[in-house]
Amino acid sequence: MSSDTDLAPVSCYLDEETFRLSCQLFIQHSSSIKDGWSWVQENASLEGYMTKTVVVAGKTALDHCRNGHSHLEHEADAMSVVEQQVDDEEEAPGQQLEADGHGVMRYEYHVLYSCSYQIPVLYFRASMLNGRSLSLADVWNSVHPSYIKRLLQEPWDTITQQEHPLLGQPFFVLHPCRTEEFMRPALETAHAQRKKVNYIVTWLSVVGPVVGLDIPLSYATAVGAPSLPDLC
Amino acid sequence: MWRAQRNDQHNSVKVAVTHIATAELANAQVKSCCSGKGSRARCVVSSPTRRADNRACSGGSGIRCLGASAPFCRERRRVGRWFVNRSHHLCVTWRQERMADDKDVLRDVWFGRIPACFTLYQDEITEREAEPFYLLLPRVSYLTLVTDKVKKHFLKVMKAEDVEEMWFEYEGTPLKWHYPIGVLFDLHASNTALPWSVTVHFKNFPERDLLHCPSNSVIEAHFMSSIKEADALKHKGQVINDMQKKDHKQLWMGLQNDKFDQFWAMNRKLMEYPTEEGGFRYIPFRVYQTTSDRPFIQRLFRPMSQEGCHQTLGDLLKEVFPAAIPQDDEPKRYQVVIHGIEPMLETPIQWLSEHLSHPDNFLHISIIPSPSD
Repeated sequence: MSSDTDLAPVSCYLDEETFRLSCQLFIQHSSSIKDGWSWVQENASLEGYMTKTVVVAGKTALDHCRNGHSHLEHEADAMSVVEQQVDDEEEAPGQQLEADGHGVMRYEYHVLYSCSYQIPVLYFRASMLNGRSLSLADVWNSVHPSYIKRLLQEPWDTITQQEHPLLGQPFFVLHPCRTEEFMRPALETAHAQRKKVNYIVTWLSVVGPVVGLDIPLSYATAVGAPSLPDLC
Repeated sequence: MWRAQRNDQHNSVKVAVTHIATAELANAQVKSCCSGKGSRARCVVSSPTRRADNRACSGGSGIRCLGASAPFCRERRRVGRWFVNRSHHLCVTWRQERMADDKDVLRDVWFGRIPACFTLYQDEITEREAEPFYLLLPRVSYLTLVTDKVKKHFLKVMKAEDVEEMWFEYEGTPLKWHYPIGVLFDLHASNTALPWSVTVHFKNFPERDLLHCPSNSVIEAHFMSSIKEADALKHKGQVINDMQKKDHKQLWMGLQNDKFDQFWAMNRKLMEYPTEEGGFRYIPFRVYQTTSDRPFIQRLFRPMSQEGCHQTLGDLLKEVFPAAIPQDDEPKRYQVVIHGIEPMLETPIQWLSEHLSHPDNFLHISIIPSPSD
């Protein structure tokens, strides 16, 4: 048998088949703990994505102070406001709004597969109960300050608005550029310990919290990796 | 390469042109051989496919061939032989020596334009009547990058408080600024009369349909993101990652300022591939059609088959959109349009990717129903 020091290089990439199977295992556990994830199939092809909708109490105070201003001002000021917050460290990550329905928001999370980068990508959008969509400024404001500094440093590590490749509607996306950077240590450690890892669990546990998505710890222990012949 | 033989017996000069030539260049050669020959030289132009045409040339020490105005004299792709004989006839035989240079295609793609007419939406609040605004739109650019003049024009008749983010619509469909202009046109309006009639809005931004575009840096980020994704497919991202930030900037500035040479100085690196591979790893492409909910189809597709054969546009469509391939006895149901033209299905996809991609390095393919007329 090969020793622990004999390690083949770990691939930080995910093929589409493994993506689908990993999501299925993820969703099985989600059903057992009623965590709300489901799979959406895109017509006859096997293409699809994992989705979850969350309703939360309002975290953003932006729309209250900016009523009546144009949307453009939101965008231009958002970055400076956010940077100010990081420097001052005054603001708590969120402020409760009056309970008149304005503070309740609906977050939709989609986990899609990118064949270009061969990794999963997290898409999300949010709207108020009255239908008003969250702006990029609102999204930045709801990101925890400890993540904002890192996101501001690298322009490609950032949150941008993109078109959902299957629905054609605007979503926010956490840029997938640096996925390899944080997946590699996790995958190599698991490989060294001869542990099978569910890529989606590991990946979502890292990127989810940045945008307010909570992944309960039970996923780490309960969800297995898809059994594929080349993993040993 | 020029060879000029002077034949004093016949008072003729035979100038053999073996390279691409303009009439002016050929004329200069004739001039050098015929200085002082006479006052007039007649240019006779003949070719295998055309009958001889007499064109009068002004002569003297500067022989100017009026044949330069004949269509195939201006044609830079033809070569010919010039004669000045005793009666000072210039006989020109034109043969097509070589095909259009591939670089000509790159230029034609870059400089493609669509004439558009921008009309303000009737429900916008104006202080006086808004005139439509006409503009030539670059096919390879983005709406929000090239419509500052449109905005200025309409803001002249509107109050600031009635103006929010500008957005465009064609026949009720909001136009996605993050798609190249040529793609939007081919997809929505290619079989309609020019100019392209676009409606301008300043209110009620369709949040569920369009991405916001608050500044040019958003366009730049989107553009660079596409280039990066294309390189991930072509070269696993190695070429773009080896470039410096200033090189990335040069790609963007080239597009923004319509500078073909500046852009291609950098972009040519993204079009290279190891010779032994025969092509890119995967072809960056997107197939669009209006009849599906799905905005586009994008898949992994190798330009070279296992056996080392060049895959064609037809091969790609067979995998991604088989309905677009006409069956033998049926009339063509769809048009497969790239940059406003229908390339032959036999065209190698590697060649299309290198020459007909947009500046974002993607091959954008529109599939539209064939016009029924």
